[in-house]
Amino acid sequence: MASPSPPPTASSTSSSPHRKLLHSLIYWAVQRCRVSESPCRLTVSVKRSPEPARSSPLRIAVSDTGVGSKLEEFLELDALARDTPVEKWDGTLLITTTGINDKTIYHYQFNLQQETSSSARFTKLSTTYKSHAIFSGTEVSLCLSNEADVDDFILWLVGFVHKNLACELFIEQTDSAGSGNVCMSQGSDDVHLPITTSSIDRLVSGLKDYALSHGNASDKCEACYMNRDCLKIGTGAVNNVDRRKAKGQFVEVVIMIAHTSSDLSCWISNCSSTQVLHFEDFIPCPISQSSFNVLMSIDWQSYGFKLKGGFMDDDGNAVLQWDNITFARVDIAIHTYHGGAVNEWKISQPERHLVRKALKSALLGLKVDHAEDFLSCHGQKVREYVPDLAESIAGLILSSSDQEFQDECIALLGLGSDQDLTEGSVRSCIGEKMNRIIEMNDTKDNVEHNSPYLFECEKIDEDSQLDEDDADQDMILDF
Amino acid sequence: MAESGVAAASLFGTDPRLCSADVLPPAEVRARIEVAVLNFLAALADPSAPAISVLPLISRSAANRGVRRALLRDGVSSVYLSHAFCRRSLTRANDGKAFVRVWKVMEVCYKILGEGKLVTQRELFYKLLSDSPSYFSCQRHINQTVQDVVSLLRCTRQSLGIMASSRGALIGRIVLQGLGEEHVDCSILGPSGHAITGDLNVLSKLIFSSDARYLILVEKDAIFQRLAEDRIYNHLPSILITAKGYPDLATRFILHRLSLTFPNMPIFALVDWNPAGLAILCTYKYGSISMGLESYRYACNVKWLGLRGDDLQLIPQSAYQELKPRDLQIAKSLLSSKFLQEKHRAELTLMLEMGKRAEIEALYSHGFDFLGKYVARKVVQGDYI
Repeated sequence: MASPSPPPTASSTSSSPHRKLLHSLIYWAVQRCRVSESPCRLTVSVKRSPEPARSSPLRIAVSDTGVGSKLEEFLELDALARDTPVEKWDGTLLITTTGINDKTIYHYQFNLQQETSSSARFTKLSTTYKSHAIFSGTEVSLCLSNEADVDDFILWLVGFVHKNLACELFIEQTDSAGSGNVCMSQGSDDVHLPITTSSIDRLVSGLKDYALSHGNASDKCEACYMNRDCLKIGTGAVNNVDRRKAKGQFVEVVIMIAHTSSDLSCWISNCSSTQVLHFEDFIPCPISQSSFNVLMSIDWQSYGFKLKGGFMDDDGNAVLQWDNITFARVDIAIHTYHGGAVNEWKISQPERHLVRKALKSALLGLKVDHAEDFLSCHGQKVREYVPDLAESIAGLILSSSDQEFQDECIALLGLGSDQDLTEGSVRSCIGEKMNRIIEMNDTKDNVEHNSPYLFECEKIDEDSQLDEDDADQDMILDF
Repeated sequence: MAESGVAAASLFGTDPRLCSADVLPPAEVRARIEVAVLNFLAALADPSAPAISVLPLISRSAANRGVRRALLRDGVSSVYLSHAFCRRSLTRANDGKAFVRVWKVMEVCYKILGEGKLVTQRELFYKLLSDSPSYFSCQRHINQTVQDVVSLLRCTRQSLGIMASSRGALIGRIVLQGLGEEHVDCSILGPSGHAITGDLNVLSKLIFSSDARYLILVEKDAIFQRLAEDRIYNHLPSILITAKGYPDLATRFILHRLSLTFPNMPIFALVDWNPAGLAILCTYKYGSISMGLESYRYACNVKWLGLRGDDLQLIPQSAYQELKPRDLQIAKSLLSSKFLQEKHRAELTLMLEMGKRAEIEALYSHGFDFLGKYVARKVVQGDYI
């Protein structure tokens, strides 16, 4: 049965064969972990020696503790092997795999540069016996030439894996003295999530890590970490699963917001852009054009976001550019994946309306939980008038010499007469009530028609509007 | 028919279609403002459906304008506003600021009335400019907002504690006696005449005595002063009055009072031959819609003396000027109104056909004393429309 091919990487011009290779290997490792349905570990190890940097190769190994591999997927690398010059990769893969019920561990060597008919293409190496341990897993290792920009490569790999949010990366750098050095390591959050955690919760947890470490691979920022409870999170999960056929597409979206805060130096300035994290079937992946279009067409203004523009960067990530928003961080993760048996997946674009629904659901979640922070742009403009209006009315009330009138106002506002009444307290009471009403009615239709009139009146001319520019209408000037 | 129904209603009571602003003492206006505040707070604090109330304002647009025709031949027609409303709402786009402005003016008026003061619109502008510069950046904002408050509370501008500007002037064969003041003999004043106060209260209490036979309404200050210097009012027993441009409420008020005090004194208007001049005449004659809730009260039977089409033979060709776009706008607006009389319409049409306008000063081509003679001749010959 054909195994699913990994989703496409970014354009070939921008991505080196190394990256494509790793992308595929990790993708399959992840799918093997998914299928196994028990907690798995995925490790990517990159070894190099620092001196004579140009000549020594990079030794890369991708290992997972998922189900055993049937090896078919590696055949897909044929085309890639042929496109890659031999000096970069000799086409050899060393594969070690075992299934949970296997008594032995199998070792193979694939040489994809060789012709299909050649006998040197596939070699079965000696097997090892598992004694009494029960486990499954696969390790794929290969050698890549040490490119000049290997640091770049490592950086990309770290970023890639970091985004993967749930795996470990070890980079060993053996220096001339020969001692090993664990350079970087990523883990998931401080606590290992329990088995039953849903994938969306994992996505939330992973995005949190990402946000709290400023979106790059360095260690978590202590200061941000202390304030992790200040992050505002909205999630949306939709699917079109056909229960009878037990398969379908799932789309999950997590949006994470940190407000600007003068107390925290990391969160002082406004966020100007967001690189959207996009995953397909649990690994990071460039975003599709259709999903990008959905992102651009969302009515961000209804939630208080001012979108200046957006583009797809060289690595195929969507970047949204914001126009003067009061958030220090805006992090968005979109994950689309397939349900059902692995071999029945049809690789297709996630349906537009699913992505849109999930995004909207996440945004709505933010709005519902934190109404005053995610007021639409129009609502924010209206809210700006509230302090002055409240001040005016409060001033009017407190300037009155009519005690009865004042008492009635205070009673209506629910301020007890025993309280120390200042213009400030009256003003903030009126202001708060107005703000609540504005939040409540934000983005609702027909608010105008349902609002009460200050005085009773016979009929309202629905369409008429006092035209400010009609001053000349009757040629009347300043009298 | 409906027309006679209206006529009957007008004779014996207020026209039900007509919307009016009441003249109220300060305590009553403060009471209305207090009701406004209480209603607003009640809506804010409503337990089941809290809301920010919308302000219903009488619509000051041409669509809500009606014309009340004179019943008698020499009676007065006026323009009035009917009961169509429009809204001011905090949450509607571009309306929020205007909404807040209404409350700010109400706040200031409430305080002014509490202190028993009277301020001009100009003084109001400076006060609000310094308190809330982001809301009030020009005089027009004040004027419009004051009219919004008048429309909302249905009380006159003066009742709010806001005085009209003092723009008009009066001169001629009339003696003014104010309460507890020296009387003013307007026939012996300098050519700038007696300044008309903006306080309608004071104007309403003036006692007039006069032996004049005519009231001459002059558009421009320069013409007023020329006629005053020549002491035309001694040759032709008359009172001269001017608002120095567009008619302010105080000038119209006193004109109206004079017309009631001296019902046999005809009122003659001396305006430039252009659409704006006719518009000024119409404002005295019928009122305006921008202050439509009050101004209908002060409509007067004003007759058009000059400059008119027949006088054009007196104007040298060189004195004519092209009609400007603004003139055309005003002409269009006048032509589409229901109150314009046939003869006035004909004059306006002639202006448009010729594409030209002329100022009264053009008569000086015949000498500086020509103007006085021109006016006197026309009055005596009854040459007016």
